[in-house]
This record gives sequence, structure tokens and C-alpha cells, in this order.
Amino acid sequence: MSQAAPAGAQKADVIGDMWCGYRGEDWYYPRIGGTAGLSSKEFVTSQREAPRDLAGVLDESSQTLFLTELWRGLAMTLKVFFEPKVTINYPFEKTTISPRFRGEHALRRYPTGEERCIACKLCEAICPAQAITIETEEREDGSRRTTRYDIDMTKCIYCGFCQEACPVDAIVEGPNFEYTTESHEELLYDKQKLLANGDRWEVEIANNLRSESQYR
Amino acid sequence: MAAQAAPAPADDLIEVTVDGKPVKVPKGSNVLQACDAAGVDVPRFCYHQRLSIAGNCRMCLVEVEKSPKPVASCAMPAGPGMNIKTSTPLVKKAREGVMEFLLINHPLDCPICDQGGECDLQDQAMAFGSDRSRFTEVKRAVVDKNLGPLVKTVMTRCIHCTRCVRFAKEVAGVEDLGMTGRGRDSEIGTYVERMLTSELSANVIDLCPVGALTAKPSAFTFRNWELASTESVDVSDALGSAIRVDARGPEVFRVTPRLNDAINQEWISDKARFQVDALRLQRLSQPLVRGAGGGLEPATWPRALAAAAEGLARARGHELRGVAGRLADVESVVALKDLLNRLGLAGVDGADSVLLVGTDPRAEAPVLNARLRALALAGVPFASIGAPLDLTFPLLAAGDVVREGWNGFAVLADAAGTVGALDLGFVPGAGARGVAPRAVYLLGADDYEEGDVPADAFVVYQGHHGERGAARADVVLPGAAYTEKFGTYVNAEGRAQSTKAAVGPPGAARDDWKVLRALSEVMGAPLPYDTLAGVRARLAEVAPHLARRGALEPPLWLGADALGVGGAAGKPAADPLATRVTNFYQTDAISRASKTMARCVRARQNPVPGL
Amino acid sequence: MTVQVLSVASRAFATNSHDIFNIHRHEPHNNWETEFDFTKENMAKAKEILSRYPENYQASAMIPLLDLAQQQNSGFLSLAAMNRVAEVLGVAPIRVYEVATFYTMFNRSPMGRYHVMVCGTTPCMLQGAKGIYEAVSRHLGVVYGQTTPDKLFTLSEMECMGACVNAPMIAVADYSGGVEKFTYTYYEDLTPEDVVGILEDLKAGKKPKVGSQHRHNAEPSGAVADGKWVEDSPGANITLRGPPPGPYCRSA
Repeated sequence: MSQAAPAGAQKADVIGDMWCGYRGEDWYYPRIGGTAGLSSKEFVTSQREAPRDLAGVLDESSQTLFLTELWRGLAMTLKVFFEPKVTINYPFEKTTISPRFRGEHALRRYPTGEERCIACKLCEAICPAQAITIETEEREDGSRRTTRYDIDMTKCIYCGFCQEACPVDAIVEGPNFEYTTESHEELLYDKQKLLANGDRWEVEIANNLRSESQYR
Repeated sequence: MAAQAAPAPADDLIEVTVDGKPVKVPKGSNVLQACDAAGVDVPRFCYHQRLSIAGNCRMCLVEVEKSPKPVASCAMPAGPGMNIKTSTPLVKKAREGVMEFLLINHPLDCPICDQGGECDLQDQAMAFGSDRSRFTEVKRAVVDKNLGPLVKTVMTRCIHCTRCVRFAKEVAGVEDLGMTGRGRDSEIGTYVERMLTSELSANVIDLCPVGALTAKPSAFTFRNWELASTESVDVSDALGSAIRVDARGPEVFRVTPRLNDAINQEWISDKARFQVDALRLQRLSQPLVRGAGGGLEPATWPRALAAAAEGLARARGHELRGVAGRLADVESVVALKDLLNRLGLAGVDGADSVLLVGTDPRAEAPVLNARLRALALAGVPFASIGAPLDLTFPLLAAGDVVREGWNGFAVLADAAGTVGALDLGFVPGAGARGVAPRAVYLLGADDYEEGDVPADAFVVYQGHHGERGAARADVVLPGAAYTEKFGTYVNAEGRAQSTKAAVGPPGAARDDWKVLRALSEVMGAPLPYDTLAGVRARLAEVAPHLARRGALEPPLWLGADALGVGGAAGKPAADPLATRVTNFYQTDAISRASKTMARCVRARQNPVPGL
Repeated sequence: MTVQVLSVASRAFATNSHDIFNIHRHEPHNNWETEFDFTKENMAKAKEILSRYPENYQASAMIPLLDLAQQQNSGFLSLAAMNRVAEVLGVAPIRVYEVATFYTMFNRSPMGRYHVMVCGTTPCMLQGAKGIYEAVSRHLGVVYGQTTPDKLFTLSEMECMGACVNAPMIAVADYSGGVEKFTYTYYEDLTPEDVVGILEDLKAGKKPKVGSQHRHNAEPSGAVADGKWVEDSPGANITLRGPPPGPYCRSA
């Protein structure tokens, strides 16, 4: 990629070198693709200097007359046309997602079915967007549980701080990103929705957590 | 050991050096107080300014030059010329060591512990503790104790600082708590299951540095960082304790004491602390008018005010009576008084809430003025202790405690609004007796005598809780409770203090004085003030001391020469003098509506299970 | 009834072997209705004890008075006993509860007639306290903390009682005769047969030999080794008879 210009370099047009175009204004830019063929002078037309000798003038005029650049561009297109494409045909083809991917939130449960969330409010406190709203109460059996756990998915910035803050791995950001809705209200998730998410995605979330917990 | 002595007079100072900084402290201070005076933060768990010194947590260890070991700064008296160092490696090691030991048996409860966020152990572990644990054994657990409906215990978290034990013994005066067992198996508790019997019992919640003792009514409902605090004054009794009202949004979650050395130090009663759950129960949030069917129906403000105006206008002169309730602030009382005066009255009836604690005024010393006498004539019982004295109103006995320069006569009011109302002259006029009222204005009054409100009178009730007064009323105008308005209350010693609004009144309810101002407009006798400043200017006019908040004032109504008025001496009443407060937990509208107070009453009926 | 001889480690509390709670639990024999008062003689003793202390430090008599109450009350302090002591001293009951739960020699649950305490601290351990305990436990059919069904013996482990030269030893507190006939006797230099014999004697109502079972006092005339009394050969003055036994975890 780009390297710093060596000290004392002038307006060098080094063809075939890794770094290119140290122009008078300190610009240097990475060469993408090969170095063959294109001269640095030709690369940035705004930096073009007018030719001073006859050979240069003839060069330039013939390029203008015979549309050299145009044919070179078209050749490039034709070349790529026959190459194998890397584009994925979403939504029919999908790539792999990292286990660390932060998508739709879910509230998890213990294997016995008991909800993990103990209403400690650390996620609410750490959320940079203040997207989480929690109200808590003592449940009949004396345990500490939420009565309201809302995440406003339109405020959420999907940073993952809530999942990092949670001491019991209750709130997590699952791998799901395909949950568009047609109304704003549907994106204001409440506890019921989040728990349902958790039940639906638990297997994959648990797998992800298992692999990632070594690094967290 | 009793609580520590007050600091010596200023000329008795000794000089010590703390971290190189010289500081003067009163003789008799300990090293920790010297460090506090120097502004240096010394961690501690068991030391508390108002309790005796225990010295068992060892967290306050500092290095003192010429001492072979670190000293417990709370227990070491500061000597002149002492050189105290609080940030040497030795001190740091000591603190980390103590913290490590404290955390050995402390459970990993922070997420579920109510004290999280305001926990001394958390804060000091972050500031002074080590960053990692070396403990690999099994922690001990302790069985939870049942101390009653107010204090929740999770005794596994207890770090045995014994602050609660010392508080119960020295401040509350009931020796309920103790430390049984020893070593890591010691347990703080009552040994035999029993309820904490003091009305100050819930202050141990503030004292406990960890989450071993927490508030049961509000358990699990909030974290301290999401509450907004407002400094205010308590009105559950006539003491006017300084409190801090913590609210989240429109709801008050808890009340904690504020430091005020002159009144309540750092303590508040259980009622002051826990009656606030009533602020969302049985609230009057919209104006009500008694409809044709006999029931109260919601109405708009204009309609309610019009109905009230019409009903009150039926009364002529002394037939109109106003009764101020126990929680009436002086702003609304002065507004009511002005309104009734403008409607052509000479005086209004004060709430029958003055309790006279047996003392005896003499004629030449400051004595009750005519207003107090008028109250007595209106039926308020008076009594004193000692030799009989012929005063102009009925007395149960008489004594001799008021002399030149010394006023031993004290009237212990039992309601927050009493003294203020009396200071404003809210007492029956001379012509009020004997006239049956045809219209009664109840300003938050739920404790009136049946005879004061005849069955055929038109009653307007203005208050914040729907209780006896609202049930009887023909028009109900919703007002604000003490956490929702800027109201001034005068406490039993004459100190005027103001509450501040922590949240707004619910629904359509408004500030009390504003309701009276609106009513006065509708009735065609508008009051001359439109802003709170205007009301307070009027207060200053009537009773100048009410504008001087916070200062101790001699009671205005204990004026001179009042008892010289002639008249037939009444005969002593037959009933013995007794306090009116038979049920501490339910004395006014708010505490009667509170579920926590109801639980306390029920628990008091059986404080010791099995006995 | 199966006896688990090696269940000592399951006792996790540092209080004495049988009072494992530092809180009171109402039982039929020990609740609010239970009554206790000092007998006339014992009250006189109590007054004498109180007179030893200055007027404003009467509470210092708490430990001797609790001991007196315990001896009168067949070896344990009921709630009523502690409350009565509190009354006599003029302190709040919780202060008495604190003292009674702190010291392991105060029993707060009923005891047998004889409280058999086996010393288990290091010197006795080295000299074979484990064997003594096993013998006692097998003979009585109880483990540490339990009372025999006939309510004769309560077995406890005790800390060092200061008879290390005469290890291993047991102490027996006799609560059968109230305060007048209370005895607290050591039986030392024990072999497993000795201790069983002592228990048999106590059960039969006889008085076993007090103190060292094999010598006068602590003179170096021999020692217990491997569960047997080994006389010193004349002139020898060492007490270690063989290699000291290793810790339990390494024994076979």
C-alpha cells in the first residue's frame, strides 16, 4: 500500500515503484492494482502538466485523437466481464457471519427456563444511546426481576456495551439482522419480544457465546 | 462508650500534620477527624461520627511517625505535633489487605444488591483495594434474619462493622441487635426472632455500609444513579426533619435523611421515611363535584370552582368555617385566611391539633395570648402539671415552670402545620362560638371532630388524599402533597422551613395556594397575589419570622398578657391528659394511605413471634 | 444405627460441636414458655459472685453466672436461663446472648448427663486422639456433636485442655448433680481400652480413676504409644516411643 515519501524527494514520477506521485502539494496515494501501464502523471488529471517538447505534444494529441483512454477503459471492463464474480446474490446467497456479530437483541434464559435477567440495570446505565428502559420489582418468589425491559431499536447504536456489561449474559446481541418492519412501533421492543427472540435464537447465540467467551 | 463529645472551644486547638499539611483540630479529636479536617480521604466502615468508636474494621489504618505499626485512626486521639501519613506504601498495603479480607466472605451479589451504586464497600474497593482476588476456598453463608416489615436483611453480606448494634443501643435506645458467635461465623441479629422495636429502626439502612440491611418496601425497584434528589423537609410530624426526596420521573421512590445538626442530626423516623409509598395511592387528581345521584363525579376546574363558590356563598358571616389540616403549609393557610376574611369573617377555626404538654404559665411571664385562650374555649383540652392556677380557660392542673428569663412552657405540637397556622393567627374569632356553620372549607383536614362539620353544611375539601374529608365533601379540589409543592412549615421549636417540589402534583391537581387564589377570583374577592413570591411577601407581612427560613424563632402566639382577660374559670376536665398519638404509624392522611405503615401496624401487634 | 466415624470434617462451624446455630430456634423444651430461676442456694452463690465485682461493673459477673445457670439447668442454657441472668445483672438480654454464643463451653442445646470432650489438638493428635475418638464413637454409637439415645453421654471435640504431656486425654463434665455435685474431670494418658473402661464405669455409676490412668502426674515414667501404655525403661527419659504418626491424609 502506500509508503511515506523518502526524505528529499522532489516531484518524481517514479513509474513502476510502489509509492507514487509525490507531488509538490505533499500528496501521495496508494497504487491500486498493478503499476504497469499508467504513468503517475496520467493518473490525476488535475495535476497534469502541459507537455514541453514535440514528443510530448504528439503523444497527447494522438491520445486525444484515437481515444486511447476510452479503449483502455473498455478493455478493462471486457476483461473483468469474463472473470469470476465475487458478488453474493443476497438474499438467495448469504456469507458467513462472525460469531461476534452484533445484531438483533435477545434476552436469554437458563437451561431450566428461568430468565437470566436479574434487573441489575447495568445495561441501562451503560447504554450510550439510553435506548434501554427498565422497571423492576420483587417477584412473588422473592427474586429480583424486571417488570419492564424495553429496548428502542431505533435509538440503539448496536455497540454491544449492554452485552458486555451484563453480568449474567442475559441481554445479548444475536446474529440476526433481518428484522425490518413496516412501522416504527414494531421496532420499540419490549420484554416479551426480547424474550421471544431469545427463545428463537438461543441455539445459535449459545454457540457464539461458547466460542467467544474465551476472549471476553 | 457514649457518642463522642462535641468539639472543644476554638481556643483549644492542637496542630497536627497530615501528609505534610499542617492542620488545627480541636483537642480530643481522633486522627481520622484530623485527616478529615485536612481534606484527606481516609476509608472507614465501622467509624461513624455519631456513634461510639468500635475500631473493628481496620480500614482506617494510617501511618503515624514514631509508631511501630499502622494505627487505627478512628481510635487514636490526635496528639499535638503528630505527623500523619496516609499515602505511604505501608498504608496502601494495609488498605489492600483489609479490603482483601473483607471480600473473602462477601458474596458476589452486586448486581442483585440494592446498595450497588451507593455501596461503601464497592467505592472503597475500587479506590483502595486490589484489582484481583486470590481466594479459592468456599465462602461462608449466613441465615437471613426477620427484623420486621421495614428492614430487609441479607446477612451474608454483613461485614460486622457493628454500626447497627451501636445505633440501636446508643441512639435509638433499644438494645435489640447484637453480634452472636465469633470469627467468621459471627452473625448480627436479635438472636431470638423479633421485630426491631424502635421508631428509628430504619436508620440502620443508611448506616449499613453494605447491602446487608436495606429498605424492604422499596426493594429492587431502583438504582441510586437514576434518581434525582431534592432537598426538602419532612411533614410526618412537627419536627421538620431535613430530608432528601429521591424521585425518578413523576414518582417519588424514597426519602433519606439530610444532615441538620439543629433538628434531626442524621436520623429520620420510620414514618417519615416510608410513608411516601402513599403518594401514589388514593390521590385526588381531579376536581370532583357531588352529583345528583349523591356520588362524587369528576368535573373540570371551572365547574368545580363555580360549585364551590356557589356553596360557600350560602353562608353568611360566621356561618362560614375554615379548618386547616395537619399538613397545611402556611402559604395555603394564609391564602385561606385572607379569602375567608375577605368574605366577611372575623376569624377562622384552627384545626384542633394542639397538644399541650403539662406546663404552667404564670401571669407576668410570657403567657398564652388571647388566641390560645380562644382555642381553649372552642374545646381544645389544656393541661399543666403542678400547683393549681386560675387561668381563664379550663385546665387540668397547674404548675410553676415559667419564670423571668426562662420559659419552661413548651407546647409540643404533633402536626407539621399546627405551629405555622397558629403563627398566622388561624384561630376562632370571638363571635365564632355558638354559630353552627353552614359552609365549611376543609384545607386538607381529615381529623376534624364530627361536631365541627354538621351534616347539612356545604363542605369543600381541598387536599391531596381521598379520605374522610373528601368523602364528606360536596366539592373536592385536588391539591399537592408536600413533595410536590414549595410549602413552608414551622416546626415545634419555631423554625420555619420550606419543602421543595421533587415531582409535580398528579393529574389536574395544583398547588394549594393557587387553588385558593383561583377560588377567590371566582368568588369575586380576588387575593392580592399571583406568584409564590407574592404569597411569601404576604406571609412576611403577617408573621415576619416566616420569611426568615431556618432560624429559630420564639413562638409568635405565645404573646404577653393574654391570660389577663377576665372571665369565668372553667372547671377541670375529667379525662386524664393523654397524647393524641395512639398509633404512631398512622397519624395523617398520607401515613394512613400508606401500605408500608399498615404493615408496620400489623407487625407491631405481634413483634415477637411465639411470645 | 450406622456410625460414620469420619464425618468430623463435615462440621463447618467453629462453634462447639453440637450448637451449630448462632440464632435461637424454638423447641418444645426451650421456648418462650420455658421457665428458669436460680434455686435459693444458687441465688446465694450468685449474689456472692456479684459481690466480687465493683458496683458499676456488675456485668462482669456474666460468665460465672452463666456457668452457674448452666450447671443448675442440666448442662445447657435455655433462653429462659439467659434471660434470667440478664435480669439479675440488669443488662439487656441480647448482651447475654452475645456472650453465651461466643464461648464454646456454654451449651445452648440439651446435653446428656456426662459431657465427654475429646481433645483433638496437635499434641493429643500425635499421641493418638483419633484412636480414642474412634473407640469412644464406636462404643457409644454417636459421632461428635451427638448425644446417646439414653441421654447419658454427649460427645464433643474440644480444643487443647492443657494436658499435653499426658496426651491423649478426655474431659468429662458431670451435670447430673446440679451445682453442688458438678465435676469437671480430666482422664489422661488414655489407651482406647482405658477410655472404654471409663465410659463403662460412668454408665454404671462408678467413679473411674481421675487424672492420668498410668502414672501419678506428668512424670516421665512412660507414654502412650500406638494405643498402648509403654513404660519407660529405667533411666530413659524420652517420651517419644517411635516415629511420630503422620497426618490422616497420608495414613493408610
